[in-house]
Amino acid sequence: MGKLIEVQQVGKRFGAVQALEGISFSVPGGGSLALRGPSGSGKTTLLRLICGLEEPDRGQVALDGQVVSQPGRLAPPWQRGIGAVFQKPALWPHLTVRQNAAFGLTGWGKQQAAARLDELLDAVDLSKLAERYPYQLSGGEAQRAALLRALAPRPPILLLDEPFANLDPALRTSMLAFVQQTQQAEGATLILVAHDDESAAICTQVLYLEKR
Amino acid sequence: MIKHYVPLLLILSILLLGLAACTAKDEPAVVVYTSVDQPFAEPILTAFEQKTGVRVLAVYDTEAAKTTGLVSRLSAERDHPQADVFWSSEIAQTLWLQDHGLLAVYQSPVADDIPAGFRDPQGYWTGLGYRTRVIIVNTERVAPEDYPQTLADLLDPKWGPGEVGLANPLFGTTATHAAALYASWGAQPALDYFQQLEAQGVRIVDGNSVVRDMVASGDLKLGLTDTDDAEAAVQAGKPVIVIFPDQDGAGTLAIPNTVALVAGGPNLAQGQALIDYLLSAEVETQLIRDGFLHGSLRDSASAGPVLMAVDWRAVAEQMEAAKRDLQDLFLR
Amino acid sequence: MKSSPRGIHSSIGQGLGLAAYLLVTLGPAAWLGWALLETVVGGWGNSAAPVLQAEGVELNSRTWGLLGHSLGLAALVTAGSLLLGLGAAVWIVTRPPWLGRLTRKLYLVPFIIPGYIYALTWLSLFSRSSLLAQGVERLFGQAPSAYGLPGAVLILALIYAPLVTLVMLAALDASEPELVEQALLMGPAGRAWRGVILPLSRPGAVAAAGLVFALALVEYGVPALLEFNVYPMEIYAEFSQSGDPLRALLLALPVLISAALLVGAAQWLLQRTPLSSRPQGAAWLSNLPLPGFERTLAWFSALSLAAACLLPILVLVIQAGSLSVVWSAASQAQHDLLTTLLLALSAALGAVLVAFIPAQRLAASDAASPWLWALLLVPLAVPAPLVGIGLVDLANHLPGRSLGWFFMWAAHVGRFAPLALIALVAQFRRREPLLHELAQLYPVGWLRRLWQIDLPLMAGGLSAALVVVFALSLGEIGATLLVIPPGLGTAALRLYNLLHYGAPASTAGLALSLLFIILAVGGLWAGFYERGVRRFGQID
Repeated sequence: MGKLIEVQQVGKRFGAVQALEGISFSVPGGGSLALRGPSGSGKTTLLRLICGLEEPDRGQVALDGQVVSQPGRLAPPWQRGIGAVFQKPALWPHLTVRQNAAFGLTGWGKQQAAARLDELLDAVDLSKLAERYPYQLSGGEAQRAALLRALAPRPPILLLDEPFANLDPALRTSMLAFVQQTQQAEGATLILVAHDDESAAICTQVLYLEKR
Repeated sequence: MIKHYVPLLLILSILLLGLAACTAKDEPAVVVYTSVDQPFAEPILTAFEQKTGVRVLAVYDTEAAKTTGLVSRLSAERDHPQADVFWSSEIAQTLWLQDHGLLAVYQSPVADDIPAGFRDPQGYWTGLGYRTRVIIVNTERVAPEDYPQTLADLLDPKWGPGEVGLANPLFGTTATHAAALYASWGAQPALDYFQQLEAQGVRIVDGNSVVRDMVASGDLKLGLTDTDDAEAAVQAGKPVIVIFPDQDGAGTLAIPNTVALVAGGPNLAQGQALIDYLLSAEVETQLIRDGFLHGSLRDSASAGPVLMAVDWRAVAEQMEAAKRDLQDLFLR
Repeated sequence: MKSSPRGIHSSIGQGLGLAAYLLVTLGPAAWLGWALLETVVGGWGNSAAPVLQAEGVELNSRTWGLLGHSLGLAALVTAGSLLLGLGAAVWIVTRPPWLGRLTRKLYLVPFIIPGYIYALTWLSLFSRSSLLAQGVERLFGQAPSAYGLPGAVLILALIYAPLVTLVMLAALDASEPELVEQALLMGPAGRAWRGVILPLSRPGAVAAAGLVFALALVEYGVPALLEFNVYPMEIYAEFSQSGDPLRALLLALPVLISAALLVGAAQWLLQRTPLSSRPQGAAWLSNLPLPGFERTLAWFSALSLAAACLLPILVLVIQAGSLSVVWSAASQAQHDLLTTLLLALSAALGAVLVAFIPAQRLAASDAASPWLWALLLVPLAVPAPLVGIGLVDLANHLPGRSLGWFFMWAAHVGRFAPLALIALVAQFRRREPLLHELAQLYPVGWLRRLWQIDLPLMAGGLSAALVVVFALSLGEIGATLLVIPPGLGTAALRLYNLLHYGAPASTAGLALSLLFIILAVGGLWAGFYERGVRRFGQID
């Protein structure tokens, strides 16, 4: 079951640039939120704050009622149960597609992990490319592999930052449908940075960030 | 999967090998500090190892350390001596160590036939063969009729600036030679000699081997060096000739190797055994055959070039004065 | 879910890492400095003659003259290496991609070949009896001398030019095609080179010049062999004569302070300079024709560096005469070669380990202050003899101490960790942070994350740092000869002894063995790295 995400009065500054200020919202466990807004409005920063890859200057982030991020205190990213895909696939270049996806399956039995990977490889149509290295993949294939890696451990929270922006329309539609279907089937909480209505449509809530 | 651990295993192996390399061994050992050139000393020390089963841990001096690095090391280790034996390619440093209480008495039974003049009366050091201070001349740049025969011939005006070479007079056998001249000629005449050399434009170089190399290559016409350095050039077929100066006069300075027991060394018995071995006629002969030593102390009176009579204690007393004067003269 | 105070563990870790680095690199010199301070402070309370006078070293005309020699040598070497290094960088980026990639692996070779091997080569080539010298004598009436300043300048300029090339390549690779295209719309290619591309690389060139000047200032091995007296040699001479480490430190202060100031100034610019290339390199520059002077300089530099790689091998092969001589020299030195290899491997690992955390700190754009940069690079300014003297004195003050393997290892790590630091910073700067961050999202242990993700991603830079320190350690002699424990020897020391003993064939044979090891390791690294590049698509 997905985790409740609560963001309260979060602010983040990078040097002279105030990337976020006074952001508050919540996403119920198993719910979905589309983040929209112009470039530079802080969408990626917000996702990184929820991941625990950045520390807020103000406010706090709580997951299932437990505060995980606040100024001066930060729970490690690996304890938050988050699967994330950012704009760049960021696949580890020395690992194959299968190895990239298998990295997060710690504690899974060998057969269980293999079955999970095969299922997902099939679902994103990467079965034939499972033993390939990232440099051997096209942009779309790499993005699907990144999604595969994020989904493999069945994370209770899914954060997707414009993962399908560079895909062709047909592929984007099918991937969006897949994400929606997976999120609903596994009950994960989803936050999706969306640049178009089609992407936003798979979510039940929309949050619009304005550029400061 | 295994391949992921190969680099780790490799690193661990290297670290383990390294540790093994520095793990103390239980077999008997003796530590010797020697300023004798490694190519000469090493075979001797290896032979001792093979003969006795005692591991020899040697520290060699390099020309880069200006030859007195071992003395500094021995002095610094005074409170916790690491060395057992000091085998020097000359004598002045040994006398300095004796005067500073860094040597122990040991009269080797094999050294009874070494002349008294080359042994400390109390037994702090013993001479082992000798090298001489010679003039090395480039035969392609100097005609035979111009070959110098005495040290005074080096002052001949026919030698222009930068044509005569001398090793740094603050170190090694050149320093000993200078002090010997101070002791033999008197301080002022010796200083006059060096002042004239300086006025003539003598070229001061890093060491005796550099004098040899520069004469051999023709960068210098002639220079003062030791017999082993000169011999190496001859053996290599270089266009040089070796002259023993002052054969019709006071004789050529012979500088003995010296062997001494370091005070408080960790392996007394092994140190004494090594000294006995080094002072043997067999080793002396080997070193002469190899070209490091020019002659044997045991028959120095009857064979070889005419040698200068030297009071080594007087030489040691003149060392500081000579160094001070020559530093002011050449190195300021 | 535990939430920990942000940054405490990372701060403690960083602090410990920085402390370990400074202890190893500056420890020996700092030890001497502390002893000097104690002596001076103790003397101020004493009504007797000033302590400094008792400890003091007289700076007379000779020492000032030697300082002048060192400064002059450093200035000329810097000028030479700047020209050669820039020329080589321009030559590399204007080659076809396949040739550019090949030469990007080779240009560092002159830097990793020990200086005394070059000195050997030079002395052989230009000895009075050599064909070259005789030819010059026939042409100009006077045979050149192999000894003296010109040889020292040429050799050191060739050795340090690759450092300049390293920085210049990164600067050239970072040049934006769009900026140059704008210039091309307004004038010929020559104007684009001189007006846009090269000026943008200027900060990098100045940074590299500062570093080279500092390294040349404390250099003494090559000048010593070529009988060009320089200041650092006096440090040895002083220590040998007096046996007093404090006197040696006092004597070293002028050169230490000068070099430290230069390194500090160089780092200011290095901080703002990309130290490694973009993955796609500057292949587009190969289509841009070079103006006349730059083309001549580029070819001259490339040929000079190529000669610097090949000539030593050629001359040494001729001197050795036969493979049996090489084998014989290597066999006689087998224990020394083994010691050298183990020492170099362990020093390389140690240097990379101690430099790892400081390098991360420096590479983090929001954390690196210029003072931190200066502090971490200033060990480059410490002359090798001073490192050895400091360690010897430290060993003499430790209870039950002896100069064992550890001190030899510490001397090598201390001397070369700053260079490992520079290589690692270059690596950390070019890595994609997201690749590391994403791994943190998964609940795997830190060791597994380090081993499976972080270290492989840094393999290029880590291995480059390892290879550079390995090669430099193989040739190190300045500190080693002071700290070598009884019973051990290194190939470099044996080579030096053979050199002075006067066995040219054996010397050449051993030098070739050493060279072979250096080039083999470098070649293996280049080969594996190239395979990794083709596999994973990263280019340094």
